[in-house]
Amino acid sequence: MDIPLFTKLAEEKLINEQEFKNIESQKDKPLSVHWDLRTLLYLGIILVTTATGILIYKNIDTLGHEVLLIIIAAVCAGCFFYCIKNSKGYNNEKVESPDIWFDYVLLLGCLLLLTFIGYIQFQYNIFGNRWGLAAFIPMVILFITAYYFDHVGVLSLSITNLAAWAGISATPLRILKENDFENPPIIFAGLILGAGLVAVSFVVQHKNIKAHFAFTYKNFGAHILFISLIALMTYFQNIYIICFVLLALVGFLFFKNALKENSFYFLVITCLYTYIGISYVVINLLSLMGFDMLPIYLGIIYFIASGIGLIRLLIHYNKILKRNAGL
Amino acid sequence: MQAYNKSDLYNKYVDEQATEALHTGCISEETYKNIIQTHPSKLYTPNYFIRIALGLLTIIAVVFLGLLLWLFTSASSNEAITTLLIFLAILCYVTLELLVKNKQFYNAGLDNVLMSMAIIFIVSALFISYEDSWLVMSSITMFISLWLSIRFTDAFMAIISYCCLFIFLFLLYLKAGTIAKATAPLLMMCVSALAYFLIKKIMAREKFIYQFCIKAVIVVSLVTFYASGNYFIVKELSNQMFHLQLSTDSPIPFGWLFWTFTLIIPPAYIIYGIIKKDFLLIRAGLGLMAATIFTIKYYYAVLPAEIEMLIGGIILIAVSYTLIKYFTKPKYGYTSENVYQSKNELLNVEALIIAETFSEKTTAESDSLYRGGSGGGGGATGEY
Repeated sequence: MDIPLFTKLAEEKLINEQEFKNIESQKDKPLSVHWDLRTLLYLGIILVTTATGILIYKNIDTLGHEVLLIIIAAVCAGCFFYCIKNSKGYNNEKVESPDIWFDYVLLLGCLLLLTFIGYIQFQYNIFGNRWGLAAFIPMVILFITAYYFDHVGVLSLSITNLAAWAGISATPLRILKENDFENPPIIFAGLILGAGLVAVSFVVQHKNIKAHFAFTYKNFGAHILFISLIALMTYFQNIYIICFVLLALVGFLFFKNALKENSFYFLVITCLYTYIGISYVVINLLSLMGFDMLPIYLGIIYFIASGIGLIRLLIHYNKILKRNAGL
Repeated sequence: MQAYNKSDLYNKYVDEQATEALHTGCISEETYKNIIQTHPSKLYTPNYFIRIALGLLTIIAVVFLGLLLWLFTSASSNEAITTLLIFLAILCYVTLELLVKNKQFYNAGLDNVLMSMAIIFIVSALFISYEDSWLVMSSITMFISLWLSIRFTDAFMAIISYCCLFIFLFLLYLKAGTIAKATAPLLMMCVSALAYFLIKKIMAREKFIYQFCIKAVIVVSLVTFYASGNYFIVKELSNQMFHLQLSTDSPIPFGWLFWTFTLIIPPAYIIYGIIKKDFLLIRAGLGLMAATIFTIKYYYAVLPAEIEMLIGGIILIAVSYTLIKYFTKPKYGYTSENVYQSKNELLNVEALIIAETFSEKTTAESDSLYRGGSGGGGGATGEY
């Protein structure tokens, strides 16, 4: 802290003597290298795990699949055993992790679990053609893990798994293999999943069951929902106006909610996604005018005007949110 | 010289310092409230996410405006496009001046993007006209970005300006002949060191206005000091620039000197930083340590990459874990505990106090703005 500045403030009688002494004594307080050391530790863990992965991959012929699977399973089990032993148990409130290793070990265990299941499915085809089951089982385990040990990172993993599972269940395997993601079942699955996740976020918040998970649910839900809505609009060309109305409605609800909860983040993403939708409609309408120079000019002018307009809108709502305080 | 009111900048600095004092529990909430009430700053810096969105939207608006003007004038010759680019740069600058004058935008995303766009347009215009003269390009860009950084106290512009100065001096010195080519790395190290100490001097004087600029340039000067002496950079750059066609294992004159610099500078930064309790130095040293490791790896790859990663990772884990354990109890003025543990609660307190203090005032202010019906407030009125 800037001592001369506070000396000046003390002279102006803005801070009293005790407070000035507090500030002066700050100079002698120890500096925190908490995050620096954590970052180094994390970097080290990433290096070791990546290197191990490469080593195993290169030596797979000498090791054999069985040995490898046993090693992965053993380490994974070890991780979970450690976590269960050290865990503070389940609680509806936020549970702080017991020591510095806990979070990393849990994450490692979960990643190894996914590797293990993917491996046996790939090598021995254990689930046969029921790919849905291969995604469903780890998903359930991950959700239980995330809730029991209170780990937001694992929760994100399980939501990603849920999305994969929903995508797989929604499509015949053939389409997935052809990598054709522009098809209605996937889009509808996305819509349902997104809406579902947003709904879950409200439930956890109101029932106060791990309320700090709400943001993760809502974040995933909002992005999936908006992207699916935009995909819906571009896919069903002939009824895109109806899809746009749906997008605008969802956008409006999110907008209201962002204002209510004073969330700058959701305000911004809602505005940007809705803006993409509006721009799509405008370009579509302009393209009806044929390929003349006039629609091109109009389109460019639209982007300039809408850009400036949205800037003004955001500045305006920034002011309102600030007035209501919050983070 | 600054586009902002000096007292606004000072008050903002006071507010920041007071917030820190509140976070560390040195001053009471009552005091904090008093300080921010007596030091109101008109500078407009919105929320972080809003800033990103404003920046993106500004890029859209400016790019399409450029497109429109280009289509309109159907400029195709080099001269015409240069004129257009310069016109766009001037337009960006004038808009920036007006916005800052009327609305006091300060790191609001919008002003940062307008500044960068102005620089990009100027550089593109220069590139068309003076394609091979890097000397001209770097010197003009240096002066423009220096002006922007002084006027709008912008850190990014300060970095650009410093880098242009660096390139300019380097190229200028090379013109001096063969001896210059051999001693260029040493000269550039001197330049970086000089810049570092000069900036440190300025820091004592202009702290509250240029704090971000100063910090940014300090970090970059530390990096350029290391880079000028780095073996890889010296060798490969002279290879490229003087067409020497050296292979990986052919030595360069005074190679040992550059190896010494490469090996010594990062640890020296870290040690000096630890002694001086300067986080900028420590973190720069840690980052450059990685650069040194890559440099060694490039010339002396003894082990396969994954083994090196494994060893490096184990060393990192061991060292950081021991240090975390060792510094749990504060020693030598350092601690591995998180001192901002209850930061979230404090952030709430801070937000509440700010809201309490300013809520009535903002409404009053905006009322008068709407009543005045000035051109600036016109747009906002429509949405209100």
